[in-house]
This record gives sequence, C-alpha cells and structure tokens, in this order.
Amino acid sequence: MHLTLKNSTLVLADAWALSQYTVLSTQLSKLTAQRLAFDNVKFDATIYLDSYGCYLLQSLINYCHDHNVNITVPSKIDQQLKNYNFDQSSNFNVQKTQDNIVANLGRSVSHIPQSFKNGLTFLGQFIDQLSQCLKRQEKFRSKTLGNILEQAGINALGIIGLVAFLLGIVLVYQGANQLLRFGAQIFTINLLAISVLRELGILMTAIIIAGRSGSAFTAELGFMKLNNEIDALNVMGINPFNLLVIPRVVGLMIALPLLAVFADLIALLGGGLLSTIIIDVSWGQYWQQLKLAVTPWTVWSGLIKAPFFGFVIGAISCYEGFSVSGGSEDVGRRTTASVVRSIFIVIVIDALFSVIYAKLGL
Amino acid sequence: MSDAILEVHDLVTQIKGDIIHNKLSVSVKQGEIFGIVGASGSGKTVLLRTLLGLNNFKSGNIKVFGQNLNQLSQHKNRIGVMFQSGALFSSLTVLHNICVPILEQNIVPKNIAYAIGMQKLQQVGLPDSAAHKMPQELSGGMIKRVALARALALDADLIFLDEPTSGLDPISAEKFDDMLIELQKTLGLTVIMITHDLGSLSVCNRIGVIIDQQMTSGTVAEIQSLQHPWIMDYFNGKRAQSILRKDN
Repeated sequence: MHLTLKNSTLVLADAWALSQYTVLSTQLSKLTAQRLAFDNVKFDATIYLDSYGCYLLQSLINYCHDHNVNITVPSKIDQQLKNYNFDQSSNFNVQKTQDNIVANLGRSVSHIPQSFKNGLTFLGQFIDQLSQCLKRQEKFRSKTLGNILEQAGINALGIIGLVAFLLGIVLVYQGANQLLRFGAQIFTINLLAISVLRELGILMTAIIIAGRSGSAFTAELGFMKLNNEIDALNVMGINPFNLLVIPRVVGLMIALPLLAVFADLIALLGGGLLSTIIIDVSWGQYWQQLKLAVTPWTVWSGLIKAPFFGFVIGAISCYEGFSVSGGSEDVGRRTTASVVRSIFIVIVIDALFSVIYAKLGL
Repeated sequence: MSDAILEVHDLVTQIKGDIIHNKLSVSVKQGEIFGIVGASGSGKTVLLRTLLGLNNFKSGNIKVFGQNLNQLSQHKNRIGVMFQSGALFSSLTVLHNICVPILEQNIVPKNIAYAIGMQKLQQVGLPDSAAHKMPQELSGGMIKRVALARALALDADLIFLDEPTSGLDPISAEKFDDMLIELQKTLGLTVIMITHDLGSLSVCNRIGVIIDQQMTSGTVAEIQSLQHPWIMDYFNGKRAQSILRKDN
C-alpha cells in the first residue's frame, strides 16, 4: 500500500510514480479533506519517488506545515525534493493570446506595403540575375533548367492531356445542347475552338501548373531555407537566385506555352471526337469548320499569354519559398499562399489581356 | 535474466542491401547507464532506431522489458527518447513540447503537467524564460536540452539518448553527466546512450562498441584492454588520453 493510516499515523510506502498518480492523488485529497485525520507522517523504507510522486509529496508536506502535522522527511528524499524545487504557487499562462478579427485584419493590412516592397525587391533581383545570365557574366544553369523542364513540363503531360480532353468534351456537350435550339449546332465547333484556343486551354494549363509545380517549388525552396541550404549556397559564393530561381522561372516560361499547345490540341481532339458522335459531323467536316472558325491570331492570342503566366507562377512560388521562416508550419502556409496567389494573379492577367484585346479590336 | 531490461540476440539489420549489423547481441541490465560507441557510420543510430521499432530488422530477437519488440506499444510510457537533432515539434512552444508526452497520458491535470514540465526545464538547466519560446528561436544546445527534458518528462524506466552531450559546452556536458547519475540513483533509470564524448563514458556503467557489425560490451576498463585496432586508436588517441588521464 502506498498510503496506510494507522493510529492517526500516515505511512508512505512503495512507488510514488506516474502510474500510481490517480490512486495517490484521490487518496490524498480524501485524507486531507477530513480535518485531523492524521497527526503524524512517516516514511517507509520502501518508498521511492519519481517527479510526479515528488509533486504529490510536496503538496502533502505543504499541507502538513499548514496544519501542524508532524512530518520528518528523510534526508535522501528531502534532497530529491530540493533538486526538484517545485513551484506550486504559480499559475502557468500557457494560453496563446488569441487576436481578434480586427487586430488580424489590421496586421495583414499593415503588412501590405512591406510585402509589396519585398516582392519588388525579388523582382529586381530576378531581373538583375537574368540580365547577368544573358550578358554571360553569370553561369546559366542549363542542366537545372533541363530538370525543371522535365519535372514541370514532360511529367505534367499526362494530367494536362486528360484534363484538356475532358474540357473539350464538356464544351461540346454544353454547346451542342444550347445551340440546338437555334438549329446552329455546327457552331458548337466554333464555340469549342474559340473558347479553348483563346482562353480555356491556357488558363486550365496555368492553373494545373500552379497547383502542381508552383506548390512543389515553394515547398522545396522553403525546406532548403529552413535547412540553411540557401545560406550555405550564399557563403560558397553561389548565388541562390542564379541556381534556384532563374531555372525555375525560365523553365516555366518555356514549359507553359508548350504545354498550352499540347492542351489546345488535345482539347480540340476531345471536342472533335464528341462532335462526330453527337452532332453528326465527320472528321472532314469538323476540320473544315475549324478552319473557318480559327485564324492564326486565335491561336496566338492564347499562346502569347502563356509565358506571362509561367513567369507569374514561377516567380510567386520561388518568392514564397524564399520567404519561409520559422518552422514546418510556415512551409505549409507559404505553399498555400503560393498556389492561391499564383492562380489569382494568373486570372487577373488573363482579364487584363481580354481588356487589351477588346480595346485593340482583336 | 530477469534484471535485463533490454536483450538483443543475433540482430541482423539491412538497409538497402547493405548489412549494418550482423548477428549483433547485447544485453542491458535494469538501472545501468549503457554507452554505445563506434565509428561514424558504424550503425549506432540505426541500432537505436531498430531498438525503438522505427526500423525493420531482418532477423534476430529484440526483447524490451522481457517482451518482444512488436508488442512494445503498450510500454510507450515507459520509454523516453531523445533524437540526435532534437525532433522538437516546431509548431509548439518549449513547454508544450515537454508536456506532450505527459498530457498524452491523460493522468495528471494540466496545471500539474505544466509544473512538472517547468521542473524538467530547470532540471536540464534552462531558464524559465525559455518556456514560451518556439523551437526555431533556440540555439543548438538549447534544442538538445529541451529534447532531453521531453525524453525525461515521463520519468520513463528506459531512456534512449542519441548523442546527448554533443553540441553542449564542457560545463553543461558535465552537469548533464551528473544529472544522469543523479537520476539513475534516485529513480533507478536505465539509460542507453550513443555518445562520442569521452567524458560521458565515465558515467557509463558499461559500454558497447560496434565493430565489424557486431557489438562488444563491458566496462570501460574491460573494453580499453581489448586488442582491437579501432579500440586502441579510440582510447589511445591524444584527446582520449588527455581526458582519461584526468579521470584516473
């Protein structure tokens, strides 16, 4: 028994350890609740305490001192208690201070100028490094660029092809149903061609790449930052911008237009396949109608946007990766921010292009 | 055999085709401080991870608390571990990190858990002000200490330490050694630690040396008298000599 009460003497024995904590604390609180249940406390030789036992014992000793109960602590245990030196009085303020909505809003607004400045600095560094690469003052890392093109370009062909194929099918289905009411089903092909080539093909590709490669870049660079790898590069005299950012951004600027061409072709293929099935056109008629609907400018007006989108995705994801500080939590936060911001800016740029095309009457 | 807290028999581990341990056997008694030494890459950390059930092993037998390793999950609260890099949870404060194992047990109330956590913090020689810092604000030595405090949080019966004193200044390392002896005396802890610190070997009751994928164990004096080239280099190097001479 850990606690035995005999002739108003409390005997403490056995293991006062974490495993016994619940039993001990309930017994102790029962005993201390009855006033004068014991007036003497003795220690059996078998007693041994871990920190949890010591904590309980300390509270018992405090109780004894307060209630004039006779307690002689053996020197060995007393030494152990002194080593532990529990501070029982203090309340630990461990709750994180929760900010209210207004404070959070204020803080994020007040951060806008700083992050704008940081973004501008990043852009400046990028342009500086790129121009040095172009002027051959700095090495251009073509091998890394090759890797990026493989990861972000070739390896993305599967998913982009699949999505584009389905996109074509969806457009033809929806278009054919609506245009049937006007007896203008053949114009489904115009609808498909114009919407895919001018807008949807490239937009879809950009969004997939932002989710696929942008997030990967941010997480990768963020981990490198946490692991001091970026600092290591700096002290070795290797410019991390040159090694890490330039190939990624340039890589996406090259990969995205190519992927967009691929997506356009596959979407037209998917749409064509469905057209031959539901609107009774042969592949030959489909081709004729496409030639009527599409001018070279239709194709170009979509593809021109691709390098811009690639630049935005690459730059934002690298910027967010370089901004990681703190711990693993921040990598997650930055990766989310990277994808959300990339997609948002891509759509903003897309809208700008639409306005410009409209103003120019293209 | 009842007093052996850990028994390893003919352990063979293989990682990606490389055999790390070949029929390694060792036994650690209740209440002893057991040091594991060996050259870099000799598989000390792999052994530790295998003993913890984090790595698979090819063949052999590991018994902890007299039970086979695969049933170990019920003993989780009897084992404390400190990893080499600290492995602190980066989203929690220092105090919360230390209290994770305590609160997970769901035995003691929160305020007592925090009181014990604070006490562990003092025990490893950190100021109270460190309690509310985040791991990324700590220096390397402080991370070690917090990790140690977390390993000690449950007053576990068996504690595994991976290079606890590396990265500590000599004074802290010595304090750490004293603390281990103190804990061993008062709580009857069993400690298994990987160490490169020759000074820390003096607190070990026995040490095990990993050589040629096997382990030879014995007291420091016994190991020192062995005629193996690596052991001779290890104990007769200039650094070893200067430290060991002081001890004697």
